[in-house]
Amino acid sequence: MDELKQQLKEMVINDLKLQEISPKDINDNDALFGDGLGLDSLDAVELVVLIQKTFGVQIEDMEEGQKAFASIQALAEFIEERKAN
Amino acid sequence: MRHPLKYKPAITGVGCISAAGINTGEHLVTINQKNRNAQHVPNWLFHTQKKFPVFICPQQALTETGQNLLQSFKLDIGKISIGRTAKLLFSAVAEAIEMSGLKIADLQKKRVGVAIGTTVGCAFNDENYYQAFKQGFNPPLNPVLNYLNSNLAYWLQTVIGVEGPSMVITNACASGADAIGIAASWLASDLCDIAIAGGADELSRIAYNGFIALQLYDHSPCRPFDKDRNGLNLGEGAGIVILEKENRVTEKDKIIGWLLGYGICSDAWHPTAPHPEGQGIVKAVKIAIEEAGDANLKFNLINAHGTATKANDVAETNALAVILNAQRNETPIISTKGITGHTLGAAGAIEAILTLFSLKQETTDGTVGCHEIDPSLKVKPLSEPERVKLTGKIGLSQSLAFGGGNSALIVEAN
Amino acid sequence: MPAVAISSLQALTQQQLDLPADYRKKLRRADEFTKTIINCTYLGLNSAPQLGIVPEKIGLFLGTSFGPLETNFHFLDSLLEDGEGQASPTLFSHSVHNAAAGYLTRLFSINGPAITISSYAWPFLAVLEQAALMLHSGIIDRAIAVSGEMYSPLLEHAGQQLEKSSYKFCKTGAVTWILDKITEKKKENNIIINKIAISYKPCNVATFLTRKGEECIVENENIKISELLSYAYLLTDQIQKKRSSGDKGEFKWCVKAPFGQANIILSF
Repeated sequence: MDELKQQLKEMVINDLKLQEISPKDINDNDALFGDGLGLDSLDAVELVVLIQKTFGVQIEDMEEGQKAFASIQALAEFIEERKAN
Repeated sequence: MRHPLKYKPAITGVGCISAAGINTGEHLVTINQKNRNAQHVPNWLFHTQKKFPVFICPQQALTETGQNLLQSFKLDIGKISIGRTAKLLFSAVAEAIEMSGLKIADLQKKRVGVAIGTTVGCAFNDENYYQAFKQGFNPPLNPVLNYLNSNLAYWLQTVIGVEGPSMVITNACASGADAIGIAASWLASDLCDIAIAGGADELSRIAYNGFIALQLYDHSPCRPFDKDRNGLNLGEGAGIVILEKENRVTEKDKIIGWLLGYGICSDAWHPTAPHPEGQGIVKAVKIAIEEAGDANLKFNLINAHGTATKANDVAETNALAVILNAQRNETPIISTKGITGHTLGAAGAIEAILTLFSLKQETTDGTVGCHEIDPSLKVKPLSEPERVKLTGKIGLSQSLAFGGGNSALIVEAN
Repeated sequence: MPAVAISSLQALTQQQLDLPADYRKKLRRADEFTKTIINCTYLGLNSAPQLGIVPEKIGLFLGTSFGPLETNFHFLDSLLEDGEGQASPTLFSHSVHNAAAGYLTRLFSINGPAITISSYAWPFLAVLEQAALMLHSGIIDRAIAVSGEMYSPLLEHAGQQLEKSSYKFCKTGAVTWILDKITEKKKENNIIINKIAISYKPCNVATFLTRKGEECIVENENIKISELLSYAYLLTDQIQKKRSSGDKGEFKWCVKAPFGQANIILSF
């Protein structure tokens, strides 16, 4: 799980092109959207594509996405749960 | 912008082509009979694994009227490779010119402005060429030359043989509306005597996949303002109006209507989502009303942008509640994207034309695809089964675009 | 065409990119086309007089020949390589011709009209003309006129096949002018555009790309032009030189090409 969370942090920073931030600056339970990391709705749909490409896990719609993207922790748990099934 | 009365833009001809018909008359029948022509992307258009509904024009994108007009120019057709967007455009132009009664020889003696909106029609999307180039080959240059021949305004002026201001507007979903508004400003500034204005876009694999990737695309035929709406469907087509200075139109009967006002305004909010309260479109409509010169102007019909995305329909109806204020419960509001799909650069033009013709026939049908209006919306657009008599001749057609553009056209039917 | 004042002029290539830190954050997803346009406009706005014009009265006019073509190709790459359903929505939204205009309106608080146009001939001159019309109409009190192009290996390669092997497309670059209404004060101290007249004619369309036969005529000198955007850089440079020289009077500038002609009359 730790390795997955690290991978997710790197993915969020590199693929969403966040500036002046490194993985250690992101806490597992920080909000990714809104006031947290400040991601927006365009980042959300990009993240859906990235998760599908990287992990083969599909997010059906943005309601499902909202829960999965609440934080790195939430996203890691979501992916692990999906891959287990 | 003020129109001194002598330069008031009269609309003397229109042309429309989309999945709803190959001319304006067919569009009105389609709306009336609620014939939705949604289908999957046929292989002759492009190959895709995705099975989302699209609204497409016939494979033969150049109508008979268009072909006849093109052939009358005796161009060396063999050398010209005309893309699908240009063919759709020309079909609409041909209908409009025929309706206006203008003769080509007369047009060629006047200053004719050409303003065309497009989104796909300005992109280089020849995938075969691109892949060959990427792989280090020297592919034959025809796709590049065709691309360089495809600036729609320049191409149209060259084919028809007219001179005057010329512009291709690439303002995403508001392009067609902006083209008409800008052309009207040319007339008002005496840069030209006549203007051919509107928009055109073919359905492209790029745009289709782009909107799917953005999760803005409904798996079902779109449902504007419906409580279960889930996104847009793309369409293709063209809409063209012929604008003339009213004082130069000798036969007043041939005037179909007038453009009373045009407003344009930026949200400055988000790359793809509208301002949630529709602040930009509220302002654009206000500017259009100012140009129309009547602060008490009442709309008898509103053709909304109504793409059926969750965000657009909320933002737009929030805005309409402000715009209409006390009239919000009595003004008919519809979206026609249920029968045309979202035709991108053509949308603003096609919808202005449909608004005008509904006003002329003094009746409007409801929003095809809208079965149960979302109860949370602040205004109630007409649902599919409804049909209402219109109480006047003035209508509003509005467009909200990617990038935050908002455009409003106010038309009056003759 | 109604006369307008040029309050500042700026040209920038991608090599000169130097964005302030807070802009880098807001432009994290933007491509080089947008970043260069933003940087150029940032400099242009900074060197224009601060007139306190409200956002609703500022208009944006962006002209380009080929737009963010490479970004369009990057989206196509993601479609071809990753497949349908896995193409990047960010790349798609940035590949539309008016994506840069959207950024300009958000970063510089522009709530007036924002118009993006595409022209293979002289898009910068076309937006200058439209900007002047709208300033005169009273809809806006300030116009930001911008033109930008993005380096395209594909089009450069095509140009080399069409013209000669040494053909160069153009580096990613932009030009921004800030236009204001003329006041009595401006008449004395500023550069006035009195007239822009652009006409087009049928041509061999390859010349839109190769710029073969394009030349600028100014003060009896003919200068051959061979790259996209060069006409705009040249005009900007010549006006800046004229302004520095302190010379007053009328300045006529002309550009001709197989696809048409444009004449500009300025006064200093």
